Amino acid sequence: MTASTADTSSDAELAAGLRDDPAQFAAVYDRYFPVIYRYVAGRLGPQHADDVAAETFLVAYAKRDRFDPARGALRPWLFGIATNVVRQHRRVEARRYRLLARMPAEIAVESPEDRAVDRAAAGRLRPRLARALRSLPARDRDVLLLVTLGQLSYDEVGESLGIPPGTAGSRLNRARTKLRTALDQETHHG
Amino acid sequence: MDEDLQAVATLLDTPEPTTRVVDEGRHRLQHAMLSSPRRPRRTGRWAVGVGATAVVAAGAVVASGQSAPGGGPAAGGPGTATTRTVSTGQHVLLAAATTAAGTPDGTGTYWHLKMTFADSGAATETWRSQDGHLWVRGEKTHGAVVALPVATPLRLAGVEISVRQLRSLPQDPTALRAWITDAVERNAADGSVRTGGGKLSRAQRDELVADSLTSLVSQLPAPERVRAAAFRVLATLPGVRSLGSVAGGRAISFPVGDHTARLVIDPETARVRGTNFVVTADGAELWLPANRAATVTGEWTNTLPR
Repeated sequence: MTASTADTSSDAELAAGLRDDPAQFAAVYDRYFPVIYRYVAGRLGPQHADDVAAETFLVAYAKRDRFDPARGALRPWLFGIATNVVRQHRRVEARRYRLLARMPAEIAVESPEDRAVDRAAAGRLRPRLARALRSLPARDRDVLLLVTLGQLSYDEVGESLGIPPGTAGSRLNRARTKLRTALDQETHHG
Repeated sequence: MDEDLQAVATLLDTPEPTTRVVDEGRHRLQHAMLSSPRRPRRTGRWAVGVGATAVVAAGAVVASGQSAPGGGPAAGGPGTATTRTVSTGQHVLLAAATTAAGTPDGTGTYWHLKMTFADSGAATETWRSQDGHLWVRGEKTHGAVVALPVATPLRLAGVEISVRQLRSLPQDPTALRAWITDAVERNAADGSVRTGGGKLSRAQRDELVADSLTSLVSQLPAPERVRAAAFRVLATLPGVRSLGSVAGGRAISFPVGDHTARLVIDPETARVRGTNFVVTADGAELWLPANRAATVTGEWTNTLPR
């Protein structure tokens, strides 16, 4: 469609064009599918990410009239929708963390050879980390994973979830405190 | 990123999506984009009719997607109004659209169309110049290339269309569907297209839309991007089914009025290799029985055999 012209257009231009020409949504997909996929796959695992990432864009397309460029950019808006869709798969997400807690690091992490030390360390940490992720309240975990997997700023997390940036910050801090506690226990007792 | 956050990112790291996953997601989106009802923005004479068609088509696609035997991958998660299952048949059409969209347009002086009929092996060939002159070779000409004495125009939506007009057709599926639907409604209303019984019924007008799309992807010298759009609109028609792999490509079918259109699509080239619906050089529309299905090849050439 209009992928070649959309590649060079800014997000604002892309967003502004959506109202008049829904076909431009294909350009939104091409630009953001990979990052949304990585976010969804991180939370639900690659098997479920195909469907859920695709579904995110179907929902976004259906809601495109409600996207307001004045209230934020496309990226946090899409991550917010992805987060909502992921929430509908809570059991899948819980199962992913359970699996990660059990799986040997050699299988789960494909690091270069020269990172063997990191990998060994990660291998010791991962069960506790995965368990800690599972035990987080959903709203704290949403913020944590939007930051770590989606690489969103506090402001963007706020836009995604419809909360003030300060609230995003305090939720992230709460999540990190629990993670650190889990990791410290590992250091002391492992 | 701080160490604890980095540890989370490492733990949850996954590979990039494969090309197949990206393409399938895009197909689902494009399908939803086509299936969603057009917003009632048009104020023209045919606004009501066009809108109604779009809504009917959207509903029908949902039904066909769910009932298609051996249908495609199930949509994940709780259903939303926008989630539609893309059946295997629809997937064949959408894949052909992707291929066509990436194919450069051919060039040449003559549009050379060759139809070979399965039962007899007999072939009919036509060469058409851009000004509408036609040369024919077939059984009736005993192997000779014969110039037809009168100009025989190409037809789309029941009326004449020039090669130049074909080149200016919309390349966006939604716009192309609107163009064809509008043309059919207009031609039916002003009597340009009529049946022996008078004006075309709603069902006959829908049939003409499907015929037009089929002609665009198979026989007419339409630009590849227009063909791509036509494939995408075809994928939204109710009842598209996959008939599996056959000689020449993947076979699909969809109901058109009382008939069932059958197309064999070559996935490598997105050309329609086999069809049971052909429009002859003199504009007659032929539905062929299964054992007579025609192999159709169309290409631009600079050579006119004498």
